[in-house]
Amino acid sequence: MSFVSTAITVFSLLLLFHAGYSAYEFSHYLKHLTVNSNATLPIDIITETIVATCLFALGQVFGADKLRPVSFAKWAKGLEREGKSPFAFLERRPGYMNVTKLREEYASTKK
Amino acid sequence: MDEKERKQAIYPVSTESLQQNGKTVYYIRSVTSTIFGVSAGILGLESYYGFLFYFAGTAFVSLLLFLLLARGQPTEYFTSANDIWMGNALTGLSSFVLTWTLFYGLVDA
Repeated sequence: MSFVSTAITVFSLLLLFHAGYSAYEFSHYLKHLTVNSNATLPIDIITETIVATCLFALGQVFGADKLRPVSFAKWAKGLEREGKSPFAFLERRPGYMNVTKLREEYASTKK
Repeated sequence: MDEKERKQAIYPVSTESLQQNGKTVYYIRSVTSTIFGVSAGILGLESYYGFLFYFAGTAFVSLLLFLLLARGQPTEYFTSANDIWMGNALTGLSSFVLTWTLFYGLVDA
């Protein structure tokens, strides 16, 4: 997880906690200190909750691992760049060496 | 060989990539489902509105996945384009209901 995505996630959780505490206080006051109990949550708490959830989803998606390509060709290309090709065992096949040719090459480069 | 098998033979699919992508999407969906439950509890949503909130949130997360992770090319990272919109969409439902009921009870003093 990168720093930006962690920061966004933590901030959204703080916002969510603040919204939740505000909603709890609101409903507490409504029930214990007023007579009218038909009020809905104030619009700023609602906005804060929705913004916090959207930010959280954004933070998680930003910090997720990159998706790997699914076609075998592209995936193997990425691996080969790092040097871990799945077919590396085919690069060197001792049973198919042409010894005379290799001897000639060596002789020609030695001069 | 029918068309699909032929296509699989010519353009094979790497199962390791498929599994990794599935794991990433599954993690994102389950984690965001719990947070959707928390907000549904805080907002005091009840019965149908709560589930509607869950499906709206899942659709939002699908949109984010499509735009940011798959960069508009879902077939390059999943076998079919439907996998990014509806794949694992219902796995977070139980976490959602769990946190929803928990926070509804907590906030409703």
